[in-house]
Parts: sequence; C-alpha cells; structure tokens
Amino acid sequence: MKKIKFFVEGEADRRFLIDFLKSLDLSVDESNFIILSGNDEAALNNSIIDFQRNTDNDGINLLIFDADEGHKSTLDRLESVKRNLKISFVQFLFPNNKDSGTLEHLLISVVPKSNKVIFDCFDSFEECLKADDRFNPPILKTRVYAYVDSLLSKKERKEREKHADEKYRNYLRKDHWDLTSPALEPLRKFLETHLN
Amino acid sequence: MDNNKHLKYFKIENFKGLQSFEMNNIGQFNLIAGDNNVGKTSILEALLFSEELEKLNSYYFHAFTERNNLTSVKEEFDFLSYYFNKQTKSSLIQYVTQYINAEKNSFILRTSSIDKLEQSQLEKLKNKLLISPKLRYVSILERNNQDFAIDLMFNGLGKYPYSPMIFYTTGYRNDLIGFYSENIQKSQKSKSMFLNSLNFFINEIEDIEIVPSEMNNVSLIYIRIKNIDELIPLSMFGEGANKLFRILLEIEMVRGQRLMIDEIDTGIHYSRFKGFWKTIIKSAINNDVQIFASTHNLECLKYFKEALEDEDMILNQDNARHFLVEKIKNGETKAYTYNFEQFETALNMGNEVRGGK
Repeated sequence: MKKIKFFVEGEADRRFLIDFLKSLDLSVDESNFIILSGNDEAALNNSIIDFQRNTDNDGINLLIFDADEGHKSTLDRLESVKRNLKISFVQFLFPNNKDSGTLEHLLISVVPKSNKVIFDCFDSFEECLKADDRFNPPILKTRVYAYVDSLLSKKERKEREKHADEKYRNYLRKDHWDLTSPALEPLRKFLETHLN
Repeated sequence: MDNNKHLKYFKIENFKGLQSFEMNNIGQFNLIAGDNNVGKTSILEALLFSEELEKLNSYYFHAFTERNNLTSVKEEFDFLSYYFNKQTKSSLIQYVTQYINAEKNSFILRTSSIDKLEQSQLEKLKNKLLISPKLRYVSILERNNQDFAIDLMFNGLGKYPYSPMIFYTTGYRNDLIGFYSENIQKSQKSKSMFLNSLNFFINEIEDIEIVPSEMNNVSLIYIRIKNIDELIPLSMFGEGANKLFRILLEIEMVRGQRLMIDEIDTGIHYSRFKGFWKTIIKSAINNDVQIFASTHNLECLKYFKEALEDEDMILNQDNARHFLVEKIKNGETKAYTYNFEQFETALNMGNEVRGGK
C-alpha cells in the first residue's frame, strides 16, 4: 500500500482526523501526520522536505486545510503554492471540500441531534454580545470548547483541559459527536479513496 | 561563510555502499542524521577527499586503519579498493566538488597494480619507487577527465600522519600529545583560548601539562586545576571532557578546512549538549573550520537548534544545515537538506528529522 502522509494546520486537525479514521476502521499512526507551522507558502516551504520524502517513496501527500478564505480562493492559492514549491499533494478543504469554512464548522454540524440545543444557547449569547460593540462575539473554537465542556461530568470537569481542549478531545465519544453524520460523507469518501 | 576551502556541493559515485550520493546547499555547521546502515560514516569518510593525492591517500589510509581497528597494513595491499562500491563492482570512485565562490570540478580516483602501468606513468614514479621498492599499488586521480596525479599507495604514516575525522570509538589516545604540542602549546593566545573552551567541561582548569609517565616512559596529558596541588591525567575526566578536548584540538589542526565527527553525541550527557555545541561552533568560527557531524540522538539535534537560538549565536543560523539521509524507494541514498528555519520548524512541530520512519 502506498504510504500516506497527512499535512494539517494544527494539532486539533490531527486529533480529529485520527479519531475519525479510527471510526472508519482506518488506523493511521500519529507519525504519518505532519503539522505545518501555518497555511501559507512559507509554512509549506518549511516542511517541503516532508512532502519530497514521501513523494520520493511513491507515497501520497494528503493536505487537509480549512477553506477559511473561501473554497475557491483557498484552492487557487494552494495550486499556486504547489507549482511554486514543486511539490505534490491532494487536498481536502474543511468543511466538505465544496463550501467555505473550517474544521469547527464541520464539528458543529456533526453534534448529535439531542445536543444541538446547546448551540441555540450560544446564538442568543452571541446576539446579546453583538448588541454592545464593546464586546467580541465568541469565535467558533470557543463555541466548540464550551460545547464539550458543557457535556462533561463533574469528575471530568476537574481535568477539563484533558477532555475539552482541542489537542486532547475524544471524538469517538458518541454522546458528544456523531461521526456517522452525512456531513462527514465528503471527508469519508476522500479518505477511503486514498487509504483503501 | 566565505572561505573558499569550504564545500557548498559534494557528490560521490561508487563509494562504499553509496552508488550515487550528493549534498546540496552545504553550510559551515552540518549535521547528518539517518537510520542505521544508511551510510552516515561512509559519507564522512567520503568527505575526507582532497585534491592533493598524497593527502587523500594518507587520509583514507588513516580512516581505513582506524575504522577497522588496525595498526598496520601490508605493503602489497590495495587499501583504497576498500572504498569502492562492492555492488557495482566498480574500480573507481567519482567525486564532484564545489567550493564557495568556485565552479564545480569532477574527479576520478582509481587504483592500479604497478605491473599494469604504462611506461610514462612508471617514469613519474621512478624516484619514489627507488625509495620504496616494495610498494605494489598506485592511486591515480584524474581531474575533469584529464590526467592529474599518480602516486604510490603508501601503506603507512606518510607525510600526513593524520586524517581530519574523529571516529566515535576514538577516546583518549597518545596522538593528542603531538597534536597539542604542535598546535596549542607554542602559542600563549591559542593556549588561553583552548583552556577557556575546555573550562566548560573541566571546571577551574588552569593549565595543561605533558608529563612523562613513570610506568612506561610514555608521556601523558595532565590537567592542573585551581587550588589542587596534584596534576590529574586528562583520561580521568571522563568521556565528555576527552571528546571535547580532541574535537577542539582537531579544529585547531584543520584550520581553514573541514573536520568530520562521527556520532558527535557519544559520551555527552544531554544537560551539557547546548554548551558543548556552543563551544564547538565558536571554535569552528574562530578557526574557519567547516564541521560535518553525524548523530542519531534527538536531544543532540534539539540542543544544536537551541544553541543557535541564543542571542549571541543567531548570526550563525544561516550557516547551519541538517542533512537527513535516507534510502529511497529506488535504492538510491538521498540527503535532504534542511536550512535552519526548516530544521527549527520541524523540531518545534515535533516532525521527524532523523529518518527511519
């Protein structure tokens, strides 16, 4: 089987992908993930050797980024980086390789139905903050952190970082995440195409 | 880095286990990492290459005896063929070198028995053959496909009783005495700088003395420590101190050229690595020496980075490189060159820099 290397923007992406791959019975060692120092050309250039090493061994580089600057413009920018650095990779852009967004957009769309009410509470919280321009509305990362935190048991809350922080979060917890959600279909197809 | 004796590109073909191998964008301080048996020590040996054939013979002879733990080699033995690639059964080695501010040059090194030489080649060796009639092999070095030099393969100490390479097995040895008295002892300034550098491993060092041993008439290196009346043999100071002593001494010896150090981390405790690196880098700068050092040790790599992140060292980051050596799918051995920023990023993000995965 061809060796797959995953190039991601941060620890949070790695954590999520490892759990999602496990849920698909596709076990991938952590060492196959390369965490980049950013998402621009300079950051990719800093890890250029990891791209080259895998390509030299006929491996496949999968780059999984946020489409936070818009799906089309992120895609265009990555194509230009690919040409400039003479590296090869296949990309998937969160949330679904079609729309603009981030990992957090995807996460929010895969919470179990019974928990969606938590985000309704955030909506009213956000509306409340927006009414006063002295305050910043919470970013999506904060929402997801608070979502997990709100579901933790008393015992778990004593070590809330270990459960709620994006570096340690357990996405295999069915009471927190629905990894069979149709919102994950594009990512599942992308991963299975390259890993099977 | 502006010294024109420093390599910026190096390529070898048919050298030991390396069929073809090249290093691009070489700096002044070069780390070499890679899995076991990938050929790190062979790369360091290849870098012993010299355009002066007599020196090249001598360097490879010393490296050969050192690596194989030999004290002598028979005069009728073609030791240079030990360096030929066994897989291709090639009987020559090709080199391409490029120094700072210079063009690339290619070289071919081959050996021959004296019986197979042409008359014109024998003529060139006539005087040397009169002095050493028992020697049966010659080495021939061609530069850019033209006849360049021919020399008897002298299986002994020769004119250059030394090779600029420190093997990991090399600890305290009496060769240090000659090196020390030739290169350091004669100059008060050199001695003072040397003592200052050694102070990192040997606290309160005041002086170095060479004293004949009462046991077997062989001199030994002794260290004088402040407020201690008795001299203490250098060998008593442990592997780290002895290693640093040798490295600093050899950096002085190869001033303006390059020094190869195999498994530089051996014998050094991790808590000393940062200071160890700073001491070596500073000494190499003072002596304009290009360093090539191999290691397996992740901590050694991390502290190399940390040493160069200190404010007094930042300017040297541009001259630091890390080479990850790997065998790739087609069997080729490849060196991936990290500049300092790439190396720093890889270590900070916890990405692999030693190969083997």
